[in-house]
Amino acid sequence: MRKLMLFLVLIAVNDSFAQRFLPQQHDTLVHAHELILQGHYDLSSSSLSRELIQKFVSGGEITNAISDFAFNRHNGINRVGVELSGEIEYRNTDIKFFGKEQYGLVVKGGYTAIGSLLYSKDLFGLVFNGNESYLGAEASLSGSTGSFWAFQKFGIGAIDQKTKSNISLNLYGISSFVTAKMREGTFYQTENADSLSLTLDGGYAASTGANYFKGVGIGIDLDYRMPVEIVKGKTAYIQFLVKNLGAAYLSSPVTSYSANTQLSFNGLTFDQLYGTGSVFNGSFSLSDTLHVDSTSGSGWKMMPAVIQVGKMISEMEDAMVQGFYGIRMYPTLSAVPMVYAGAQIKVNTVSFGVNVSYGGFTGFRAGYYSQFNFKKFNIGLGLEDVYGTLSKKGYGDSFIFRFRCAL
Amino acid sequence: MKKITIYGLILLALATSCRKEKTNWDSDWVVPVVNDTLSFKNLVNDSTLAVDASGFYELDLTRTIIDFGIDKFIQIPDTTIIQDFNVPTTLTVSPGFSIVNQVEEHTLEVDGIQLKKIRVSEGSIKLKVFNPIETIAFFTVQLPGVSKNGVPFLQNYQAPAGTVASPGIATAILDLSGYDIDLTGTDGSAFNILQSKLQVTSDPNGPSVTINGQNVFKVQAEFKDVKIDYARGYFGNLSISDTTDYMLEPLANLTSGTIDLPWSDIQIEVINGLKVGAKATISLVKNTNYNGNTVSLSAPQIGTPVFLDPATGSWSSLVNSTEILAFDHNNSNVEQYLENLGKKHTLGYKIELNPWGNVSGGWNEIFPNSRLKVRIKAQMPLAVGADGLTLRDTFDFNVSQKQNATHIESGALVLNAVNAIPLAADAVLFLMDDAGNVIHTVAGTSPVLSAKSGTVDPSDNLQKMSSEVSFVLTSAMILDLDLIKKIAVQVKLDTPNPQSGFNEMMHIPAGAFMSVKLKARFKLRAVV
Repeated sequence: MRKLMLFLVLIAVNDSFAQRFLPQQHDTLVHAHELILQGHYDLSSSSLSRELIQKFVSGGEITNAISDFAFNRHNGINRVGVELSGEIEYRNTDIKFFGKEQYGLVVKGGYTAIGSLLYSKDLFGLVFNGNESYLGAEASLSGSTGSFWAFQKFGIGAIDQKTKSNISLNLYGISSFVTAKMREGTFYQTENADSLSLTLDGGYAASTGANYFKGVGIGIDLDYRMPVEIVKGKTAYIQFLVKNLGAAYLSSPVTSYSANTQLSFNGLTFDQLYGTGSVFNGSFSLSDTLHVDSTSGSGWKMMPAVIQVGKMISEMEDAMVQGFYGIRMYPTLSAVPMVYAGAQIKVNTVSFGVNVSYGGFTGFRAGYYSQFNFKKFNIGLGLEDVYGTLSKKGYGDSFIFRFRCAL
Repeated sequence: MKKITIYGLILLALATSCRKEKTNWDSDWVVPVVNDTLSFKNLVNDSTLAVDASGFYELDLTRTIIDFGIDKFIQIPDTTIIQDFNVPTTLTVSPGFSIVNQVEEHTLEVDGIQLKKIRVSEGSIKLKVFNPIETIAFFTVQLPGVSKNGVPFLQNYQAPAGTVASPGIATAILDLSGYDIDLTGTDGSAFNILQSKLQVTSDPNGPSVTINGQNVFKVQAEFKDVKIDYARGYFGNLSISDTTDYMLEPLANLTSGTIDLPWSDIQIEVINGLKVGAKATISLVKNTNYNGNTVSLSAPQIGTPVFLDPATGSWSSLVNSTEILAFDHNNSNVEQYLENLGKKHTLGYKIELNPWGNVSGGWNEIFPNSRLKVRIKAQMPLAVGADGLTLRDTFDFNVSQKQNATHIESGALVLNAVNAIPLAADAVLFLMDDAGNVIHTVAGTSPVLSAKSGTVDPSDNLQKMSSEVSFVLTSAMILDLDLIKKIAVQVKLDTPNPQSGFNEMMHIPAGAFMSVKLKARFKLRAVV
């Protein structure tokens, strides 16, 4: 029902504005004050169905039918990514930054949770189906890796009134950090289940401690817009956008576990079952058995930056149809570069946009947005994955909201 | 404005549609838990298994109940001997002048025993000399009759100068291990006598000194913690009596049922490795089983003394003297005694040395390898007829889980057994709380069948039977996992004849075993 409502809204709204990255519009008007509020939720996967992913967002039971459907669509190596962010930004061109007429002030704050996972089909199978279906077969877990960040941001910077290029220096409060990597991992169990062997070479690290903020970071957001002449006589803008490029110092202990072991297990002997080292009397340690080493400490980590380069829509262009395209990258996450292209149709104050993309955490996606310009403010809603949002069998879920008020 | 309101409401709806419950899913797992083989060597690890001519096990339940060595009969008390002397007149002693005291005798207090010779295996002597003159003095301490490898005990000390009121003292502690001590005194016919002799020499480089009757030279020798491994003499009419218990642990876990054993006998061996005549009386043999029932061995030999000749030979050629009390079905209730399956056995005894007095001319001897032993020997074919023989053992269990975290929903323990023992086993698990109250009972879906129901494996010529037994753990049991602190495993054993269906006595073939593979098959509910 919620999706149906969303779909109807998107169809009904005939005058909204922009999306987070897809696409960005460029205008040359100078506003004394500008307030931008935007939110972005995006789940995308190369193999997981939206129905399954949604269970991790909304909760509830993942039935065998859901997990089996997803399992059958998996390739050898698979990706999933999640991003949830909200940001408020204030721009003031009356304040002359650095004392120069050309530069205004930008102040922003927001919250971001972002993570990705690269994993094998067998890892999914073991986690969601158990090992019964792997009896007599080897499950490969090698190459699986993942990370997750959650942080708050406060930034201050300058905007070029003319080009709208802007840069901000950000301070980050890190509330969560998790990373895991399985360099090599295999699991084998005999067909009659009486013997199993595990090869494990990997690690896991997570920020710990009771403090809400586990560390602080520093970084920049950069939005550089470069005028180019793609079609003779017409100026287009290429945007070079960087978000959250920086590093964080995790002062709360980051507890790391690493294991490099080969383990064979055929079952306990009766002596082990009854003896002083019995698994039932509390003296048994799984981590010792797996030769897991544990360390704890603080240190620097690269922030999960996003880089996007692309041609923008120009608000000043009279053409009814404009195209946009570009590439987006997540350098520190388990994603491949995503290329995208789309077109916008503008009818009076209403714009409709469609786009396609390939890459990132998933494969092919088709997006849609609509935007409307009121006199003093603009509002827009969009989806980066229409099929995923509307169909349980899609590979993700996406919703983008942007509100701008300019005086 | 109206549209903004609509958008706002929609966003609010989206925002509040956050998850109301945790994400969860079920997965099916199976893991090995136990992989072991039970054989009779595992079960009866403190007994000896032999194979008879027919290829069946024979059980040797030999136990040594009493094993006494020399320390049980002779203890050397800590003893201090003191020798002192003075010159009764005033005398000026020139440098290097020696004063020799005569040999003195001291009695070793060992009641009722007349020791003529001993050898020390461990212990020490602390020697202390006291010098009452104003120059240093040299002491030579001799213990006549004490020697090691033929070398007499002789120690020299230099004592510092002293006074009558505060003599100069020198001290040394010596290891006495390996010393022979002749205790026959100066004339060679006494007993329990230690000897000492002291010589004092004035400082050869010092001045002349004047001594008188108040200048007392003294040596003090403390024998401490002395243990011996050889003794000769007359050891007296020593009598030792006691009651001792011993446990047959494999039978400690029986809880009910009956067992039929083949014909067998018991022997009690009394072995004398002392060159001392002795009299031994076995006053009591009884056992008590799992339900408190006690059976005493009844036979004419019980309470009747047996006389033991002294051992013969010496040192490495020592030959024990042995008396055997044999109990069989003709002269005793030995079968009833064994079939009581007693876990606690009690033996009462009395042993008396030199029952005829000192008839050896004081030539009793105990050597390092001399032992006085009482042994019970029971050898029987390992054959058993079990009818509901029930063993029960309890072990601690401490596993907890939370329903709002990843947990096991339900499952089963699956036992795959290959049984080459002609015993059928029916198992039940009792899941109990800390106080031992049974919360759940988990019965196996079928018994582990006897090897007699199977076929002969040509690889080892053992008859084997495979069985699969499941112990289903319901969701209700899993829910109570936090309460379960003990698990009792109860196994009922029978020896059925597949043809007749009745329990019969079965011989256990050599190499018989039961291989056990236990797997846990469970449904895991992941909650994140």
